[in-house]
Amino acid sequence: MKKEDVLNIVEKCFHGDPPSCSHACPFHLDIRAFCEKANAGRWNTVYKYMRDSLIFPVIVQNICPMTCSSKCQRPLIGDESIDMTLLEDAVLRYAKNKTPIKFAIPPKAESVAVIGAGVAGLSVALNLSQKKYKVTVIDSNEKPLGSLLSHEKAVEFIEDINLQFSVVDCAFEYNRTIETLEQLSEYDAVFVASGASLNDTDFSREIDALLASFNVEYYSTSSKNVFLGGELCGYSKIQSIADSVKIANIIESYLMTGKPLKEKEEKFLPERLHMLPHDGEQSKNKELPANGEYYSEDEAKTEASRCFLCNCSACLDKCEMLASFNKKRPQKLAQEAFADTHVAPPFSSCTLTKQVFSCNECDYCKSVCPVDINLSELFQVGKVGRIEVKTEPKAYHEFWLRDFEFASKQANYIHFPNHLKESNANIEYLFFPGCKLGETNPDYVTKSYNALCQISDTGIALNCCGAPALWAGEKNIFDEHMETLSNIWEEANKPTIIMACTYCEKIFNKYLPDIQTQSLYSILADNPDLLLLKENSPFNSLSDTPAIFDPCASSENQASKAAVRALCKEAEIEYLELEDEGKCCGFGGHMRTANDELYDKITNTRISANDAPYIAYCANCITTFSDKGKECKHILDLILDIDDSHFTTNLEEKRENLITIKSSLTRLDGKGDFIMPINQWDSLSISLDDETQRYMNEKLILMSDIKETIFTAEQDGTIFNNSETGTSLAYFEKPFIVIWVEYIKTGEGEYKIINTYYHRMHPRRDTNGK
Amino acid sequence: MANNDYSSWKCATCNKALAPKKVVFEYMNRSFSHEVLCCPDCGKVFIPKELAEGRMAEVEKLLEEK
Repeated sequence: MKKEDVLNIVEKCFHGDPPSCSHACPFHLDIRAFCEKANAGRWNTVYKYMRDSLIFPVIVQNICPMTCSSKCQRPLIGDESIDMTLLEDAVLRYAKNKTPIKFAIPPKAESVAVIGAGVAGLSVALNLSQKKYKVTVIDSNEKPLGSLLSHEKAVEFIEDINLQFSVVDCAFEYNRTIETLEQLSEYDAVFVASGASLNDTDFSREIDALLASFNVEYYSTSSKNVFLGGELCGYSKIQSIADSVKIANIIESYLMTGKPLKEKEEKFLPERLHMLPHDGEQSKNKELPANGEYYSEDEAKTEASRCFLCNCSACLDKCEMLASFNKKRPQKLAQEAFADTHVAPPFSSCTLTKQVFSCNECDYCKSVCPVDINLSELFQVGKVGRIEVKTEPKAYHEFWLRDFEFASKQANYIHFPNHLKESNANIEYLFFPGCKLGETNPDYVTKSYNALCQISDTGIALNCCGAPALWAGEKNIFDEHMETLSNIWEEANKPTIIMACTYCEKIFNKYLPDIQTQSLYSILADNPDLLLLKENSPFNSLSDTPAIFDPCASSENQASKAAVRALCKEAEIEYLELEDEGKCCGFGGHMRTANDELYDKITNTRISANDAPYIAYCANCITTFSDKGKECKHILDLILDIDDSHFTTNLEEKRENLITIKSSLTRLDGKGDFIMPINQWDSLSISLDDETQRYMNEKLILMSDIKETIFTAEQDGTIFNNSETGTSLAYFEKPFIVIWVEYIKTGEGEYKIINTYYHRMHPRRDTNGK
Repeated sequence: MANNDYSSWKCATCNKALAPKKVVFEYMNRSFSHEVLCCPDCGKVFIPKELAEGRMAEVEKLLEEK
């Protein structure tokens, strides 16, 4: 992917962008930074912000209409907007250091005449003087300020003007009236801001004529070195001061290139103005000055503290993963995700690895983002890109890719009702339970399938939806699998696919949009007579009123959500609603291997969201929660009279369950039992304690891995013996891990496991060999 | 193996006691060397659980994040 494509994913993100008040402010003052620093009493710093943006801070503070208030977000919760007039006044009052900055740059040769010493002319003159152009301000009056001279604070305004001009060289010619433009021919450029009133001079008439050719974009005229501005052109005083930087830049570009040029406006486009929700913010009344005139320092700090400091951080606040990585902002994540795909070890390193592989791929960030950014797209880029340059940590997804192979290439099967095969008719419905439902308890699949067959002729396809490949970033494997699934669907003559897992359904809807899908739960809810409710209320199998835990993919699946609630009602089960919906249980993305600390944090947060037992409708949620000791049931447990003695979270038993289901179907099809290909080590008899079993489950070590290790080690001699304890320690190097097993041989082909462990780094092979 | 005393471990094929040796490990396109016990004859590397789940796991994590 190109860099622009990656950055485009987060293009609309406005975290760090100027807030709505800055948009409305003619000067685009950084009001957020202003209030943040004012709240801390940093008056000198805030004065600098004011002076740098407002140019003549005293003048602007007094005459600005405070358009910012119209876009202050405080009123969204019913409060008054922040009082910037009083706050700016406080800054002017309490800042001690107001010395303007002197720029040490070499003087320029070009000269500019500014006609009119009102605020419009003066602000442009100041800017060009700071850039070291030879500026002369000419005014027919004896003092500056033009029409502002009548203001009650005119004296303070002139002081402000003098202060700002005190560090630049700018010539002032008062009491001089320009008769004609010809008189200004010695200047390289002329800026006329002579005000709204007209004089009866040739100059006035010349300017009037030039006004007809006034170019609003460039403030230019048909006379190429004459620029106009201020009230002469109908701009307000405030707008004139605000535009002075832009005008000065245009004049400078003319002096440098002979053509007026201006920069493209990027930051303050209307589509980048966003209001935020401000949920949970407390109402606070506007601070009023005790003396009725101006704020004390404390009052000013209090009023500044009322500022929300508007800055969208919805995803960073809500996603545990983003928070655990210091809330790195989306724009930075995009840059780093791209950079990581171009890393060349050992010369350079990735910066975003752990974060990329810690994503639950639940799309929760998108659901809370005001502009619908899906950060998992960035992490996908990271994963896919790294696989392309072979820098991905294989150990992170190795087990799950094996698991996917098992479900899609060994335990896969498709079965059609027998009577249909005879009549060669098509099926309308194909049940796709997904791989994990049957692994957890074969009853979930077989009883659901039986129920579906009673409504209509339904086939069943045992397979995986491809999520493990997607989560591993294995794009080629995933794309190939989508083709496989599409072929299965086409060969079955395009039936509607009934899904038991909302994540499977999400993948189908996104990557195989032609396939029509329906939720198993909707169908069961619509056919309540098919439910097998236990004689004593299914509620009795729960210790308390349960809460419904919606899986992450359910946020796009309102049908399933509603159906599960309807099923509870049908089974007369009262239920609670959880507050934070749509977050992953922790299983998503298979991120546990990459980040087990975060996994534990997320799962613990989920199960403690409510003390009530959970009803879930995703096998992964059930497994994850059960492993953490949380009481939970699948909705199917409560409505299809499931025998929960078949429930397991054990890795080996899960695979056996898939074979059990496949076998029941192969028998139906007259092919007898399905027998897995036998490995030489299958016949080994292994005993181990619960602790070891738990460890194996957590670390994704299968019993067959243990058997293979012992068997191969005994053949190859990769064993150590302990003369004291009588135990043996065998190891076996698999492609991405090395498995170690300590055991005691209790008989021929019989082993008792003491413990097992593994590591990922391989000893380099010596030429002496091992 | 709890006592970190591995003197009772011997290579099963050579029946020799183990001796410390510097071994280079490779992972994630980088290498890392560490002194571990090996069979002096055949060179088989002995990695106890404490090492695998301790220092090695630490280094693996670091290298994975690069």
